[in-house]
Amino acid sequence: MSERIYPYKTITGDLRLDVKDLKVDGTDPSPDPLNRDNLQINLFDQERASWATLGLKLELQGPAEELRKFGDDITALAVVHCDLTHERRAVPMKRAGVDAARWTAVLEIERDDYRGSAKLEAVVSGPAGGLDNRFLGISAPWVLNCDEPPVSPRTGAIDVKWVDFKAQGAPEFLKHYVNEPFYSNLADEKPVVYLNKCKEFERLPIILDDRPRQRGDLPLHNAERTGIARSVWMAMLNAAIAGIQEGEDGADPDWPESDWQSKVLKVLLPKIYRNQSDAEALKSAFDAWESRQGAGLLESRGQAEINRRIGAAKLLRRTLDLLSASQEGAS
Amino acid sequence: MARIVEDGLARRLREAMELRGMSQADISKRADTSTGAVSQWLSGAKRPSREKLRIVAEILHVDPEWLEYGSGNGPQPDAQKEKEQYKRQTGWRNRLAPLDGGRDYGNPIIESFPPDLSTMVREGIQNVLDQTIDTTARVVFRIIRLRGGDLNEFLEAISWAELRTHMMAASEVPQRHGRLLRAALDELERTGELLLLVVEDSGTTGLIGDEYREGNFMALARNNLDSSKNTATAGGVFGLGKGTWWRTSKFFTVLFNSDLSEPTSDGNQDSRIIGRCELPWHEHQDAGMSCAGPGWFGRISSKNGIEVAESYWGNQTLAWDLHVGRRAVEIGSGTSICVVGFYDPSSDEAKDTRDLAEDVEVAVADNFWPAIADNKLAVRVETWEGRTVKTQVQVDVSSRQPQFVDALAKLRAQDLHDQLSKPSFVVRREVTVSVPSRIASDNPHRQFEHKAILILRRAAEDDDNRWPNYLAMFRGPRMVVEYHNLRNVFAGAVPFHAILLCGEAVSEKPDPQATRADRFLRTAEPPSHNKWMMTPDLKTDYARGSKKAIDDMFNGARRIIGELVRPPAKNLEDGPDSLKELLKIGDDTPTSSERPRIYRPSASLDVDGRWVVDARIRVPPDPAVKWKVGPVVVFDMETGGGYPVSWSELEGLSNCHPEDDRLVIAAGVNEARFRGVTDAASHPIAATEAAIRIELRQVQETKSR
Repeated sequence: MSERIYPYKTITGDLRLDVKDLKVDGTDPSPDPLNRDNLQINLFDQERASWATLGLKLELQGPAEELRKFGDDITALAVVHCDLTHERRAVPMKRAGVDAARWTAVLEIERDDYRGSAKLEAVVSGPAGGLDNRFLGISAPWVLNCDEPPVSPRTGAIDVKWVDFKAQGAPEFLKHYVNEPFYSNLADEKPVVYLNKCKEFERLPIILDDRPRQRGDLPLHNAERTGIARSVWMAMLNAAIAGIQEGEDGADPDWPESDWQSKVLKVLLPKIYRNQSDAEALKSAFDAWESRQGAGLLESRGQAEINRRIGAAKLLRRTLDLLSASQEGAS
Repeated sequence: MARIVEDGLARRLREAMELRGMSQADISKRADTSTGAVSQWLSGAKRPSREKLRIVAEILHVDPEWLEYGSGNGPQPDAQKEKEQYKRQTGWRNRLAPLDGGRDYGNPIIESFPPDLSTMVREGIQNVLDQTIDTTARVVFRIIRLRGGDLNEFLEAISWAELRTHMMAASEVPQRHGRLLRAALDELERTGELLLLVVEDSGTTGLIGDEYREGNFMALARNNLDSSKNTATAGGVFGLGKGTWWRTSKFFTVLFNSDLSEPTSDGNQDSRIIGRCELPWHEHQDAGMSCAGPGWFGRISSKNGIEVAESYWGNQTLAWDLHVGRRAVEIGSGTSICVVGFYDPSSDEAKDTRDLAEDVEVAVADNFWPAIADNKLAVRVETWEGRTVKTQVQVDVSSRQPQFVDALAKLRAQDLHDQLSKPSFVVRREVTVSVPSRIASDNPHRQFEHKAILILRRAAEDDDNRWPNYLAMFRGPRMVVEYHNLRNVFAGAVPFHAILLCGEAVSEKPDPQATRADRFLRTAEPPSHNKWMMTPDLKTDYARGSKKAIDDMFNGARRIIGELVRPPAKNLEDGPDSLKELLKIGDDTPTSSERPRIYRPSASLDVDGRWVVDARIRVPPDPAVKWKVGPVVVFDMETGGGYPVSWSELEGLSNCHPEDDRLVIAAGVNEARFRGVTDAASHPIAATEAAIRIELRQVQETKSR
């Protein structure tokens, strides 16, 4: 994202928001959910099965010398916002008497008001350009992960699970697809690819799992995983394009609310629409989706880029080499 | 960034000390005060008390009022005497054209390297490191703007009237260097301004050697293709690097003032001044002779019946007048180089001193962070208006290259881990380099295995990384030879910074094997010292196997890095890793460097409520690619993607011109600048009510080959 320019002077120095203390239902959490390196609060893997309230002690530190120039009328707000529930809570921060560049606040949030992740940041405002309470600066945001993120923060991959589609405990929707080797569920906040390990597909792990592969079964392994990946990517692309939010009254379209859908588009659109800016590519995709001919072209280019991304051609060449070598060996 | 503004007292104190040839230590001793106090007076940070001022004035033979206010008697008498001396004794003498009538329309050495500031910084500091005798080499880059009286004083000292007659003659030559000279002379006439770059090093040997014998002096001031390197592992080896000084001079003219670490055979050691211009062949009408091109500034002497310009020794007034004085602060032996008419030849836009200083600072940090981090080098960058310092910045590599510097510091402190499990963790591995037998007659040796050190630091996802997933490589001189792009080393790799330390860089006290490995890799460097590859010298000096040794080293490093940055299988839950590998939707490689992008935008509202935008566009430099881009102002709203608005005016300020509401950027440039005014009628709300973003849209790339 390019830098914002305001029609009046804003704060250029660092505004650093720190979480000084954190309590889950009034007690110390376990494991420690704070990841200061990545500005994350990860609450999805708490030992306790569920929690109701989260208490945060926050501190905002700004550039003292620069803030002094803005006078005494500046204020700071700690704001937490969840895209999925549209919950937005803001609390005024208290300016430290002895240090005019430091603010503190205590923020309490209810678990029931949040799903997925929320963004926590501090906004400083004050008089500017003849108006009161104008935006002057914002801290780098913390991400509050209440539920497990849709994409693994460690691997960057979506979730893939082995499930017996016929088993009693299997999700209900899988029971409609017991004769299919896989099903990708993109309807929920977290996309998951389910691989069917019911009796009819009990040999599927043989060609899909991570065992060391021999020349004989490597081509089949590559063909199958490439096929599944291609199909899942195409479905994700379509869902993500459908999630683009139309701009109102001549405004540009906006990214989907869903985090994974935004990620999919940010990965593929720059490749599909080379030399276009992110905003331009998003608009091109949106417009293409709306028009019959454009949609076809978008699908074609999307498919080509997906093939490139998953290395389909390279895997196919390798498969052909192996097949050719085995044929020569046989003759 | 430290910025100080010098007051008049500091400037006059420095001038008087320069002219009297006195150091801070001299003053502090005789005035019975500390060198720190004198340093603070010189920097303008503090002023001396009245009593101290009186004592200092007495020491320097000036009136206290002159020091304090500039009135009364200053240090004229001695300076005046020296000035009269150098005016009588110095001048320019050019090499006569050869009798066979051959003409050089410019020295090809000047054109050997890419014409940019980064190359100049690499070559310049590399030469300093090669000549370092202290544990730490110190370099100051001073960018000085001269106008009015300051300019006249400088031109008088450099015997400009005499030099200009040669330049005018050379500018008549209808070749490239002639045309460049003509433009430079016209510009000086038109603007009445001249930029100097003074590069002052200390803790080095200086330009040692007699006037006409082998040594640093001859190598730099007179010879071509003479590297005069005295160690096996020195950075430079081709003697081409010095050409970058003349390349960054609009007048192809460079001056030197050197304090030597050892005297010449005739006992001279202090303040050796010599200048050299690299003009094309020209006919000098007034003198009635043809000149080969190069000319020298110095003491006019006679050699074999021909007048020549030789080193001019010990005249501090000349050094001061040429802005290469080395006496105000005690800095020891070393050289001050003055590039006359300094500019960035890679940009057709005239950069101001602040931009030039920023470019120099970035180039120093990018290329020499290992040397600075290991305390082998300290660099300061200053800007001056005449005799007044405006800004001073000590190059701080821990803020310019935080990830690489942190990795190196952790290696030195042995703060290491086994795996890159968390951001900022650093791991150490070894990479084997099979150095082939050296068959050259000097320092022959058998084949052996050198253990280079590979370190990796895991980057945080949101780090402001300048070189993410790059491998920086260096050897003994601690100049980064190359940043090797490893973005594709492993799909979904954790972000990292990697460093490969080779040869003498592996240890503070390198053993003979490390020195041999260093020599091998130096031999694997092309003249620009910017990669390790198969070279003709490797072929003649080493037995077969050099190329394989280099390839194996790179492949070994890549393999180890791939293993370390690959996400561990245990992190993949449940389903097969091989499928998840194909379903990564995060951590994609950014594409911003592949397309033009807005850089340093500024904007303000005019009285009609329109945004007036002045911005630069950074372009991937490619001589065969022309870009057409549409800059757009987007009104950024609380929600939604923003409202693009129209221009009422759009003009190119440098390297671009408007065409159909877009800008066409010339091929081969790395930066363009434009100005635009928005059309208020297209604003969705009043401009005072919203923030804006400036983006590039409708980007079109045209390849000419």
